[in-house]
Amino acid sequence: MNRILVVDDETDVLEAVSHSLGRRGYVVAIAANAEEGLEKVKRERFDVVLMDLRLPGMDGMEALRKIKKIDPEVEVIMITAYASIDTAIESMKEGAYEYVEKPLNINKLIVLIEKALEKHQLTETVAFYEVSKAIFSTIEMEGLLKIIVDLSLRLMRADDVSIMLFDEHGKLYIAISHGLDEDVKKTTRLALGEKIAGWVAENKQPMLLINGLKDSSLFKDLPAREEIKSSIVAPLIKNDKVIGILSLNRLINEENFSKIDLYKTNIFGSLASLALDNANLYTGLSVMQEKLIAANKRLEENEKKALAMCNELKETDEQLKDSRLQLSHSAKLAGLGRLVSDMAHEVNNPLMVIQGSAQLYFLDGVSDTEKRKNIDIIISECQRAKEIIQRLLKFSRPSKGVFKDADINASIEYIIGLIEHQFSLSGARIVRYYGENLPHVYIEEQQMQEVVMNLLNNARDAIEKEGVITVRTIREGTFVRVDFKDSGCGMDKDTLDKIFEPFFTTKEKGTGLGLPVCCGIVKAHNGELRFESQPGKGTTAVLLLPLGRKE
Amino acid sequence: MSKILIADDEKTIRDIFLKFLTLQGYEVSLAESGSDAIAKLNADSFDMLIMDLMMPGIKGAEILREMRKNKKPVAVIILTGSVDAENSKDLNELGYDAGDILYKPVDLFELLEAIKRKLPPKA
Repeated sequence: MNRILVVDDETDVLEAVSHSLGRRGYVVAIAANAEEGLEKVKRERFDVVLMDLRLPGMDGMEALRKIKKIDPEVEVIMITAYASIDTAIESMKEGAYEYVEKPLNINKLIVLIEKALEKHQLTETVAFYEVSKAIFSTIEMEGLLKIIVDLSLRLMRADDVSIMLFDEHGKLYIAISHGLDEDVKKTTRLALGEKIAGWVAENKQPMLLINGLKDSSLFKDLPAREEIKSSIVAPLIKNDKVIGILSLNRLINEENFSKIDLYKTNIFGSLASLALDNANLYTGLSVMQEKLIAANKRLEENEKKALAMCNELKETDEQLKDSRLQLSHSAKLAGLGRLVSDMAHEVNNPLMVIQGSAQLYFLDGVSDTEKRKNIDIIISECQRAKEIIQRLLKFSRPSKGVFKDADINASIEYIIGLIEHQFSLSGARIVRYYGENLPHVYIEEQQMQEVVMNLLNNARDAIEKEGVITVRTIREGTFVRVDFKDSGCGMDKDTLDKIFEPFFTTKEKGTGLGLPVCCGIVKAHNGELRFESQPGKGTTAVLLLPLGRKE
Repeated sequence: MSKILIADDEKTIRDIFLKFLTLQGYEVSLAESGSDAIAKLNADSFDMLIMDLMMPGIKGAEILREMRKNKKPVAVIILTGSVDAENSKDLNELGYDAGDILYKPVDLFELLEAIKRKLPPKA
């Protein structure tokens, strides 16, 4: 029903107009001056206001401005005498819909009112359009809730508004409100069916409450806020699912919410639901996006780390290779101390011969034949000394790490040549069983000779007084197998288990590095080194080396 | 004339000592191994043993130990090609030290000095 307010100080005009309009089904209110009219506009909603320009006290022009401030959507038609037509035109600039001249032609006035109402309704439609535009202008939750509250206040002319949403436990909480106590806002949690909002959420039914709760069959026992004149509590529904509750209260506004307002709230509510759902999706999306960005960042960082680690690994690998070579060289040098004392012994003998023969040369009683013979001896002993020193130097040179096909028999024989005499002096006799037509092996010869030297030394050390070291080479599948078997003391299982541990040694002056280094070298050859031993029955070191590339 | 037994596994060295010490007026016998030396020490009596420490088979320290058993007082000069025989536990336990050891290569006259020191000229 359309509501019209007539403001005029002439009582007969008021009566005539209200009578005519009342007959045509309008709800008409009247005010005799601007102040009274303003008061009514504040309290009630009108669709159209008829405003006399010339009024006692506040004039119509001033009243127009104030009315438009209170309710921008109300259409105001100015009533003016001919004399003040300029002012009437001026009033149109201030937002009046039209002006009519006195004396009033009722029929003309009715047509104008109908037109104003049409425009007013259009304005409402446009307002809904504006609402939907506003509502969908943001998808960010907090901003959206604020917009919905502002629009509710304006569009539904509510005095306080709240929107409740569901928390993670499925309880309703107040997401935003206008005009509600902060404490109430923070502490309110409603289950489905609990209080009005809970009932609405459970039943998916909007609720219109007039004059508080005392007239409601459902909620009359609930404590009510006395100042509330009327309320609309509407579910916000998306895909048949309640996503929240919109509550509107009118306190100052004396006009109660109507069924039309309920209807409007429903339309507004569905728009709001859609927007809220979007915002939820967006929130979810942005959370997901943030997670994705964070994950991406972590991924990038991890990638960087992995790359750095890769480089480090490469470096470490290089260092490891270097260290291995260095360690193997150190172990070799450590083993060399012993070899050196052996070799010193070897060299000192020819030197003894050379010195002695030379000194005899100058003695009386030595015949020329003897002297000549001594010179020959000196020359050959010099050669002997040179050979010993060269072998020693060759063995002690750091390995270059170059792999190539090699004859393992020759390689072993070279080492045996270096040590055999000393071994025999210490009671260890070496017996060879070299395999005939043995294929080449793919080795770094110097390193492999170091392994051979080490294994032979161990064999000698295992022999207490006198014994035999048997060296045997034979092809075994894709490997050449070399056995170093000694007739020495052997090892128990405990010792056998520890021999590859660095710094484990049973020797008085051992470094505990020999076998670990050997093991490293053999592994680098893709070969195998293992030991078979029993206490008192000697030890066999079994060395497996892969065949050469050209085999 | 003082009797000296020379034990060394290298023939060229034995021959040099034989020639030199014979020229110096000693009566020289030769042994080519540890066991040979022990046999000769047991069979004959010597004033001095000049002995290589490192020979195949029986080692120098064992010869000295065997010699102890016979209780024949024999002066000893130990020759060695190694570097620190004077710190050898075996030798020290038997009462031999740096004063009894000459390192190869040995100056023949130095050897002679050592012999004279240990074997005062016989009256």
